[in-house]
Amino acid sequence: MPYDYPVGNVDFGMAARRHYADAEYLQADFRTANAGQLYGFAVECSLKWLLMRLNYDKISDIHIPSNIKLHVDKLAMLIAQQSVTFTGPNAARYSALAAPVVANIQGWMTDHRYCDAAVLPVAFARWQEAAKGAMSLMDAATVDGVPK
Amino acid sequence: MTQPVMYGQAVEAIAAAAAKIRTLLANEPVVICDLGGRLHVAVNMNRANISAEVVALLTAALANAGNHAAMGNTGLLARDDLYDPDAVFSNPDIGTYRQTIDSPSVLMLDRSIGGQDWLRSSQVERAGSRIPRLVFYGIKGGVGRSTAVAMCAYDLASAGKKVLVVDLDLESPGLAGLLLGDDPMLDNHRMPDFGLIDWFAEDAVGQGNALINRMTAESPLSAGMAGTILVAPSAGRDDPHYVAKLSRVYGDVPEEDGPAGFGQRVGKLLAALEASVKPDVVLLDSRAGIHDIAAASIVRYADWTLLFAADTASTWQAYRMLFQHWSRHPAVATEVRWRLAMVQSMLPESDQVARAQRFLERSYDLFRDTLYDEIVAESGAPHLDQPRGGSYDLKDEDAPHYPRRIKWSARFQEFDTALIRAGIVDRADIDAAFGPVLGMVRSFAGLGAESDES
Repeated sequence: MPYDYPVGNVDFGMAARRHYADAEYLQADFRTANAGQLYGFAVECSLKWLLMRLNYDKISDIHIPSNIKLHVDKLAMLIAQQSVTFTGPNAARYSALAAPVVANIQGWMTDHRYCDAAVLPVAFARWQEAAKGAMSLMDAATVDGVPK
Repeated sequence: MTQPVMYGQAVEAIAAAAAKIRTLLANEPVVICDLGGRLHVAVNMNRANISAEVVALLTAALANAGNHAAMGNTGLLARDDLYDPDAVFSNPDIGTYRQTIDSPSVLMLDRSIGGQDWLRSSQVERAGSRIPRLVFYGIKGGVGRSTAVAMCAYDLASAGKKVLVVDLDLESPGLAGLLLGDDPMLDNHRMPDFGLIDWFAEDAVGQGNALINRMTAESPLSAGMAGTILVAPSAGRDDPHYVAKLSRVYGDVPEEDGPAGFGQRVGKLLAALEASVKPDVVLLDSRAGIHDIAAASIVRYADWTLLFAADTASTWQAYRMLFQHWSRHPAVATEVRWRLAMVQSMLPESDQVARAQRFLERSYDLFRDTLYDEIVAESGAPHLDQPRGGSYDLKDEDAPHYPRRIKWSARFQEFDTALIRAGIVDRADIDAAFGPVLGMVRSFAGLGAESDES
């Protein structure tokens, strides 16, 4: 199977906001472990949303380059290492906006979903900050006219 | 075949719609011109509460904006479309905009890739410092601007002032050559260890302060004077990496409060230099042209700006472009115009009276058409509380348009300050060519009233 999600139904922006909203809902009910997971996915979707729109002329959320089609633990690492970069005349602006997001999501792992909540790293507050920064990053890009 | 809608027409269509929407809502919509030159209207209420009438009005306006209409479904941005709506609706870069003097003002957030500092005024930004700052700017190069900076620094130092001269002409640095030696390579010992470009490079990684005390050097021109000329050049001593650093200088850098843009960093640098050197007055040699360095210098950080011009059609045309930009943003224009002063540079030796009169008339026309008459306080529009500027007379010597003159002199062709040190160019030569400008700058620096023009 080339894709593991329904072709044509991908919307990273909507997914980012949905994950974030659900994470906040869980966090308000002190269900922190799963909230932390969703904060990470919110960051992941927002970074993919921005990278796809900045770096590719023709948007196709189903044909995602392999270096972007990653979970946020690896994607953030690649951005931090400058292996994946924002492009275009405003690249430095988005790099600066994304820098704290990428830094704050450090330590998040997809596989935390299998763990006993008691042994998860106590980094939820940082991941929440990362997700808030990711939402603001999407706002900024929207006002800049990045969506195509 | 339909005609394409051009940028100005599209802005006019959307601004007119926003003005109508304002009358239908309890709050001001914000016209957003995005980085691609496409237009949106942000309404500070949730989408469900926006009436069908407003949506229809805006939809029609977006249709009239052609290819400059926002893409996708972002033409109308409601409050609940945004994670942090206050970042948009309370954005400090929102200003007033109007297409013509007859158009209503609307709020606009102009998201440009560069040049945003041309509209970032309101007040001169300071971080606790009230040291007077004077910018030397020419919209065209080659008008003797840097030489004038050197002469003004010389004059102020001779009168006992501690003058900090900052070479902000990063793409074409030259003040070090003028003020620190005949040849910065040969007189390398006079160069400070670091230049402005080093501060930008190090500040980007959080260590600008480490070199702030090693960025200035005293000019030999002020040797033996009551005052001092301290020069902060663009480059430091022996810098093989200048171009590499310059290529990164305009990018935003992440800081604790969010990304810091170039203009913001210029302010931080000036404040740090002033705290280190503690000068009496700061002279900033700005880059020519409609450039981000000039925007930050003139609009955000200068107490006063000398606008250098030679009497050529291309010079007036270029100044008009800049002034027209300001005139469409009245909140900025009303504040900036009081901090401008024209300088007629390189006044030729022949027909001086006629040439001076022609320059005066052209300067007056420029100001009258853009910054004087067109800015009229409009009831209800924000930030328009400055007095009307149309009352200036052509011959009003206190008006921004009234030029001080620098006379062309063969003595200052391919000028080098070593000529002063060698006594080849003397004080009388300087006064004869630069007298009126020196007088104005002395007055600015608190050295008494400006005398009559010689």
